[in-house]
Amino acid sequence: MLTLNLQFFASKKGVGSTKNGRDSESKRLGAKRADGQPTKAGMIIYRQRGTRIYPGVGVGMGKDHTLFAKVDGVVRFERLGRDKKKVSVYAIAE
Amino acid sequence: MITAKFKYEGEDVVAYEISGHAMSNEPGKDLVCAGVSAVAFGLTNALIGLGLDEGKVKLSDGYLRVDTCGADEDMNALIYGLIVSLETIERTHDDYLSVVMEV
Repeated sequence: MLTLNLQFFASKKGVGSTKNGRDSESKRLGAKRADGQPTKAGMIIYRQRGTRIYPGVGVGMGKDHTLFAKVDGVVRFERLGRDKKKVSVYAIAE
Repeated sequence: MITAKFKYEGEDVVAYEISGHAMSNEPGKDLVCAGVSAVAFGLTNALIGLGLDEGKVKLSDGYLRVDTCGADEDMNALIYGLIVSLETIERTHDDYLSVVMEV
């Protein structure tokens, strides 16, 4: 069994790290359009690292795993299997 | 920033690797690190309790890797719990924790 060290993922003491010592710029990840929100073709829906959310109907995925709308419509976040999620864009009926 | 990577093969996670330093505060006051450490150690100990071979756990400074090949249903449920717990922390602290799925 592992013995818990609550500061296991903290930087070492005396390394002079402070709150500003972040080693990477926050990439403003996450949802850019919410569930039920209208969107236009080409608009970014979700920025992510790796594939946390999968592309569904009417959604494309860029090289950096960014999800974008391929059609005008309404954004829907949906389940995919047991522990994954996907996002779709459903065209609005005329 | 702490990065938690979950490597998938098909529907199952075959390994997870948590590494890095949160740096959300000074050592001893780093709450994000404490949260991630507690979740990671707790769930890993639970997997060991369910029969995971301790030899599959690699631990060094700010680095935890667990190979979960052949994990059974119960273990996969625990791993799912680990993912959701870390994503819950990430949702409000994504400057200090990034959960990544490798498929």
